[in-house]
Amino acid sequence: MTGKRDRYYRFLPPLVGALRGMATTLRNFLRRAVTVGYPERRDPLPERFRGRLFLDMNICVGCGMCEEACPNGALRMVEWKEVAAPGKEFGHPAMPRGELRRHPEVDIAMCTYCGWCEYVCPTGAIRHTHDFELARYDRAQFLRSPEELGVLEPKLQEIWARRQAQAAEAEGEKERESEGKGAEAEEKVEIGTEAKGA
Amino acid sequence: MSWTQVGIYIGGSLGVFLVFFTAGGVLTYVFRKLFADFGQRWGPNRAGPFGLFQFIADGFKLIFKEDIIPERAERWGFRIAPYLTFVPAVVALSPIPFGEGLLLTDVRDGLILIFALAALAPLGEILAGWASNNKYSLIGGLRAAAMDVAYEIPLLISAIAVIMLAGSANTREIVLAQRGLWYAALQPLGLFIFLVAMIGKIGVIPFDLAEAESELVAGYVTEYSGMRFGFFFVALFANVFFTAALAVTLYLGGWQGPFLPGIVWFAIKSAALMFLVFWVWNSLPRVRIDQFLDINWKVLFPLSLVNLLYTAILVEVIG
Repeated sequence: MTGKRDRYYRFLPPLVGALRGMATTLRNFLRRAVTVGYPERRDPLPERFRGRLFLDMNICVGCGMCEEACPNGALRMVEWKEVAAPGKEFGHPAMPRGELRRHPEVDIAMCTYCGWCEYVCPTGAIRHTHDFELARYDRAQFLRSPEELGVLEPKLQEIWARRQAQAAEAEGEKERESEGKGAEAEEKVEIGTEAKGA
Repeated sequence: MSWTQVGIYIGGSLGVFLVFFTAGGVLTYVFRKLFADFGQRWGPNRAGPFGLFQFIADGFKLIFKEDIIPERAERWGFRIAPYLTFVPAVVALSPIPFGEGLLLTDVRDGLILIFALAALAPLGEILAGWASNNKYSLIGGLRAAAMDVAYEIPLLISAIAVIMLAGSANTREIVLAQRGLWYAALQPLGLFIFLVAMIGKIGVIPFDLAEAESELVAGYVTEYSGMRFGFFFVALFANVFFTAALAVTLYLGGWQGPFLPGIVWFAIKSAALMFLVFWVWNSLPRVRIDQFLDINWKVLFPLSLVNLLYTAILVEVIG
């Protein structure tokens, strides 16, 4: 089964190979670590990194090309009634109030970050950002309305947290005031839900 | 034996046990850090400064984990097996001189005692493999038995060469006999055989066939969880420490060295050997079981006999 040559090499090569392997590992041992301590230190992202989508409603013309291009149906056009006014968190003062337009909304849990919507957009309104920390506890938290797409993720989380606090406060008020005026307060808090539901 | 002597002995035993246990624990941390360095990673860096308390966190985790005994397992054997691997290794450490006067059990033939105790540990592995009532455990246990017989013989024969040189099986006398020249210089072949067989005894990666996770899930520890698994794990690292200490005693002049106190020299030498073990562990792929038996029976065993002959001639020549 084993030739003369094989028998001769039987013991020697494994040792040589072992020593070579050990030299390699020792060289790696002396090199610096290539990983970084993530939350505190980060590697710089590549310039063309595709993170969460961003939408500039001011230049979006509502053509719907992005919806056509989206391979997963993560992005779809919704009718968006501009409700924002100057000084609000969202919205664009340049737009006439009450105008009905079409803009994309994105389910970021469905998005594959392929970049096609960015590619087809005639005005460059929809773009990928460097936001990548998108893990959430609840599936409902993955849908981004057009106006929410206009805010980067850390800021958006802040806004959501503030709203939640407000909602909790309103809930408390409602309980204190018994029924009566409670319904009104509820409506005030849930801005924009009608458009999302459409 | 007076009561003070008994007290000193019990205190010393507890001391050795503590050294052993913490060495096992700290070594898991060192092991993980070194592994990370070999892989160009950071390793544990969350628990405490530089992740230093990682092994304490691991210990707590293991203690609080659910302790599962398989329904059809041999309960008594399953329970006793972890201690059978752990305790002999602790006791085997007591005849090893850590420093000039730091020798707990100065029996006349300490080396024989050490090897007798060290040979008990595989019994625990075999028992664990049998008692788990699991095919992977059983194969792992049988492999442990086959490996034990294979590595123990070259290990012992190379140690016998050292006994011939020193003219004594007393560990302290062996160290003192190396005052001028370490036996590593007189016994390069013996040292090589000892190191290879020693890695087989520890049972780490080139020779971790009794665990072989890609073949046997985890070998004889497959069914173990919680602190029972912890005992096997600590026993593994304690074995790294024990075998390194034994090799230092036999070949590297024990505690002896210039300037620094004996215990420091001992620590430096055994740390170097442990680094060597971790280095080999990180560098080499696992051999097959038949290859391991081949290496031990067909290469190391004849080589150790050659070494024995060479030593006999050497002793005659030196006188």
